Amino acid sequence: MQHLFVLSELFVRLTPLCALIGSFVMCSEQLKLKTLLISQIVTVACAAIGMTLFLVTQPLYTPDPATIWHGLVKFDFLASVMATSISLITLIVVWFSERNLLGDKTRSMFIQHLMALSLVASVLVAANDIVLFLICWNAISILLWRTIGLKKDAASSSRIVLFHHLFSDVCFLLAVILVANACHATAIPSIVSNRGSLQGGFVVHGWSAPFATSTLVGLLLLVAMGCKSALFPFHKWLLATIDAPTPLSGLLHAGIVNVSAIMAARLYPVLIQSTSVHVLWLVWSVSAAFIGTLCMSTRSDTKGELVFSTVGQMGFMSLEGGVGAIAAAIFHLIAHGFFKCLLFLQAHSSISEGLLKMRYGHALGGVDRVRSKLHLGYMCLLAVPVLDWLCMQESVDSAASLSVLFVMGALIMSVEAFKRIGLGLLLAATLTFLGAVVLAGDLSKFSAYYMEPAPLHSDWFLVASIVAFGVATYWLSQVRGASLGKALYVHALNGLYMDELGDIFRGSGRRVARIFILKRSSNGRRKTSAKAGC
Amino acid sequence: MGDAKLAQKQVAEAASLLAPLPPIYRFAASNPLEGFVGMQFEQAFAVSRALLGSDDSLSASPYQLLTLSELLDRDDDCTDLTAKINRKVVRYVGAFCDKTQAQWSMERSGGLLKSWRLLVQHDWSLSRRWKDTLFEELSESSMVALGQLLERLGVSEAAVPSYLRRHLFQLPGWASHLKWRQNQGEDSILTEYLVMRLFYELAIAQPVVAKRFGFKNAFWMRLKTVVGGDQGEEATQLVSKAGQRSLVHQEQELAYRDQLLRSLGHHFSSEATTQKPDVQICFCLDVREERFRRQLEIAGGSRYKTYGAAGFFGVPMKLTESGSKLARSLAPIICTPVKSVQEVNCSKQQTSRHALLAFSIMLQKKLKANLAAAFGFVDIVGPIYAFALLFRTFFPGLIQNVVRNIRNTILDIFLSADTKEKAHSHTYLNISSFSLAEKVSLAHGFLASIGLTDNFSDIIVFCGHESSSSNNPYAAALDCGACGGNTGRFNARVLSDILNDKSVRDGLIEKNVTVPVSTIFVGAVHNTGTDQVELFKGALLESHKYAMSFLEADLETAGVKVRAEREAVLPRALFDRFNDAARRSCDPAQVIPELGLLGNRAMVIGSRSLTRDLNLEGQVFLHSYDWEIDSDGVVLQGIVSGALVVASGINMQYYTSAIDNKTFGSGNKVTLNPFGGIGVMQGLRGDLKTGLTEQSVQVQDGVPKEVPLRLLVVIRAPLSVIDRAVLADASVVNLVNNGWLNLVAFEPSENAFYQGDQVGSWRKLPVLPD
Repeated sequence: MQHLFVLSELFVRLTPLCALIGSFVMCSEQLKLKTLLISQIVTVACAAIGMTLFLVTQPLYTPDPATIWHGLVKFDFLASVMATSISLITLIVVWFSERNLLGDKTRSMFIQHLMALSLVASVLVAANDIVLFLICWNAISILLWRTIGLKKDAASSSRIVLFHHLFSDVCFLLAVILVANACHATAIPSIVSNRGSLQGGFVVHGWSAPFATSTLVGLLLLVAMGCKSALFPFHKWLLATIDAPTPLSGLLHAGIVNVSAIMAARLYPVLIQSTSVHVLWLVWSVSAAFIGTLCMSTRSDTKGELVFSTVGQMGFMSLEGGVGAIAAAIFHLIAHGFFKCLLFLQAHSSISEGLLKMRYGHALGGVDRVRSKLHLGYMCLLAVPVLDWLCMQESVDSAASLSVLFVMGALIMSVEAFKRIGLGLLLAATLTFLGAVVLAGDLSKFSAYYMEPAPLHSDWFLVASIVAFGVATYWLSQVRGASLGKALYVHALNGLYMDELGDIFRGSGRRVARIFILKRSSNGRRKTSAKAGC
Repeated sequence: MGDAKLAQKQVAEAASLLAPLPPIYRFAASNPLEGFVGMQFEQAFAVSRALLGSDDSLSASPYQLLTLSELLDRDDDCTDLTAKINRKVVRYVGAFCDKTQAQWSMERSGGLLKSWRLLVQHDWSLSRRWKDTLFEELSESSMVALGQLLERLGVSEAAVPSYLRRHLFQLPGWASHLKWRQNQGEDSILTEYLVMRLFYELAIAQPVVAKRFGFKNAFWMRLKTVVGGDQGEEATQLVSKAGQRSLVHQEQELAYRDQLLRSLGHHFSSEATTQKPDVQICFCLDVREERFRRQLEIAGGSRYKTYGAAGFFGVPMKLTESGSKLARSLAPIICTPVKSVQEVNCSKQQTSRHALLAFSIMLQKKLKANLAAAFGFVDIVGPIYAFALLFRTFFPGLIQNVVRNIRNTILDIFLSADTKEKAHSHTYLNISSFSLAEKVSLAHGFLASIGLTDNFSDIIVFCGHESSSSNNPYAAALDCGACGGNTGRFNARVLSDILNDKSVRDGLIEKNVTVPVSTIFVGAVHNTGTDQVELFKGALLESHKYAMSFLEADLETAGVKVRAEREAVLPRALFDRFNDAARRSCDPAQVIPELGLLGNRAMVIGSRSLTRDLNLEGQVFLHSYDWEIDSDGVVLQGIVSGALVVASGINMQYYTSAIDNKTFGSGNKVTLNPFGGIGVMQGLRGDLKTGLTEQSVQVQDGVPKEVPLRLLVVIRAPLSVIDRAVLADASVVNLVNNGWLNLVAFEPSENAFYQGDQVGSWRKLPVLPD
């Protein structure tokens, strides 16, 4: 059975690879597209079979699951679940693109790129060696740059994306060098077990820095992770991807920004070696969640709003990861993936939805009428992340948590506002959610063998931040009309002035470039019709 | 300079070249160069391209007068002041204009300038010094403030309109949208916008000037001469260079003219016999209806006689749907309706369905944007959305049906049996705002305009049109243009209600139009996405039922044929199941749900006998007109100043978007970014886009698949009548004289074609060999 599992997991990676190679040699556009689309169906089927096999046969396994190729790749449950969700999203997105890019010359190229991105991501989730991890990490950067660059108008955006990602890659590379140097190993399990050797002081050529290697490594990994998952203030690349066709955004927000969670899951013990880095991680995540959600609520463009929503959600996911609730983080990012993918693919509906809102928004008294009732709903939803995290703790009886969830569901449904969208729908949502949580609980159980108990009482940090979110919401609703609220609105509307900061850097960058490198000819004037980017 | 009236005049002059841009949900194709119709066609093109910054060859012209920030940008590559100003302005103006998107929206009372002043004091990117300037020195009145700012910038009075125009054309989409709002009654919004722009210009540019040149030195003087430069030149002297790059495909136009005239002339000699048809159907003049009319006539033979007219059927109105609070203006965008009509619903079903949908959308947005709820909400609904995604991508339409069924079932449980019965009956329209005399004159005017004043059939159908598409920001562009980018169903129903009114028919008798008692008028709507026709038949007499059943069957047959015709020309997806019309219209992935008015190139004003049995391939607007009952040309005058202007506007919209999509169109549909429920942007570039997408005009890499042609208008009427009709409307005179369309008359007395190069000067065209 274990061989079957490994085989299907292998197929998940090999099918798109073969299809991609095949599509390069095919000359018929039709055949090319057909091959790609159908191979993606096969991929999803294999992934689903693999996941099922694991769930069915898990108890038979030895603690060390399917490791192949001298430990380069390891198929565990996390890899299997992630591969399934990524390939499913990719399937949806490529089928969508086939019609969405109708009549576009770059259509098959675009689909090839999407599938290549997904392939790299599904290799990454199974990587058991930090060097392979780094290679995939970097491949994502290059592929993204190429995909966005398929549209000629998006050249500058693709460069922004590339620079951010390369920055992340360089940080990761430095961390890998330091780790490999200190632990004398590149396989992730050996790094994790040897991580004690990172505790020594950081010494270069006899100069010893006033901090431990683990701090530097943790910091580098943290920045690499934050940049890849577009945490504020590294979110600019995610905004730049709006210049690419919508389906790419669907895949990005659902599949690619999530790779950093995989890194957190794999290297968690290394990341939290240094307490200061850990604290920084938690604080950063909370601020990103706060800022992302705040900026999002002031955005008027649909896609920009979705981007900031992702920034906030990634912050929250990172917070869950940071406190050691890796399984909850993974669950959150998969749920968020589907959520955001749908919203992106439907982004153009916002015009007709807006019209509907303008025409009928006042009916049923409008949402504002039930505001006080809504607050109860908010509070219930606030507790959901805590509960699904609790469900994933081995120490907590999941039956007890589930019963609490049922009570929650009943409470939510008792709120008038929710009643109006249909009990049935909400019941279905709750049931699906519970099923998914049980799956996530399995995820947690099966991957617990390499997880550390969270240090620093960070579980309380999660609870504290969630309470803080609730308090902040209440506070925001109170200060809206006041001067402080207006100020906050202005800052959020301006995206916390990140563009202005960028201008300063860019202006001085250009100046430096002019002095040292380029002697610009006087007729090299830029077009006067430069239009704004906001 | 402080004179408010003067400032208002200057702003109006600066904005005169902008075409107003309505919100996208009521986008109706119209001429984007309507401010330029006073110029020759090619010249207008060149000037507008120069103004919009897509053509550098005219940089020396006064239209290219640079703003201060542009001058500074030009001086130094390291600054990007213009882009900075644009970005700043777009943030605030965008938030101000946003109707539905942002959850935390701007305080909007008191207008743009006031809201902005309230907020900008908190803006950290603006220095304290400038905030003080803003609040202490600048007047709160926008007119006065504009004068103050212009004075500080040192723009001479003569150059003010050009300077302001240059500022408006920095973000033409926003300026056009604000102009639309100004036309809707917000008198000073453009001035307020300009105050914001000039203020930012001053605030951003002055430090740069100070750093680079020192205060109050030669630069300011130089600037004054450049910015305030005297420019006595007139627009007309401008563009001799423009001709070098011909945008007009004269040869194709001539070839098409000859081809069309040949078939018209050849065909005309064999005029159809005038026997009374079973059903007379009046469609919209829209080019898509040409296909449908032809196929219907093929299916039913002489049973049907079809007519064409502007799809608002002569009844401009403001319609409020039941349960809605937004009145839709169902009339061509060139006219503003005054009469209101309410849709009244006996059942609550329709209302509560829309209301529920709106409510759940709003709730979802609220939860998504709420810090407390966002994360838990995503956890709960995320897994469910996976199913929605799969269904919408692989089985578009299915999910809609399933959801509709479930919803109906749920509603059925909650609704009482009484309302359930009523739910299946149609709503009725409350047209009490029209007086009897108005109804009679509307009815008479419309019947006369299509030449239907006697020989009435038993059933007369008025068929409006609408379109259905999913996930399409430009859905309104596929709806009826004559109804202002809305569905045409209500106008058709109102007119048939009016004509079914006994007292109206009595009134018509006084005007020598006798409608037999046995005649009924039926409203209908043709869905151009699926090519199905919905008939709003009221109580039918027994004698009508036979003809009606035939009609229903023939409409069905025609629909099948038209779908086949369209599917042959639409780009096809890989898997065939996504290619049929019904699925296209509900497929969220589909970017080309239907052709729209693509390929429109001619308009025929005359009776159907001119064009019957001709395959015009959905390229021709058809307006019915009978010159014999219009000796004084009043009817033709109405058609020319109404339908012709609308058709030419549509033609120009498709023309400009196809010729230069970058400048006039809205680019690739897949990278569009909807903004605030009012428009679309291209990615993150801050300006609203104004025209059609590349997909709508089938442009690939800037090259249209088929060259667009200017509208060829063929009118069958005596030359003198045409002259009188055209001369009555100055804008039509401009269209003809300046080459915005090609006018051909089909002179009835000698059955010969005359080309009208200028109004009043006709040139006889040679008889073309077959």
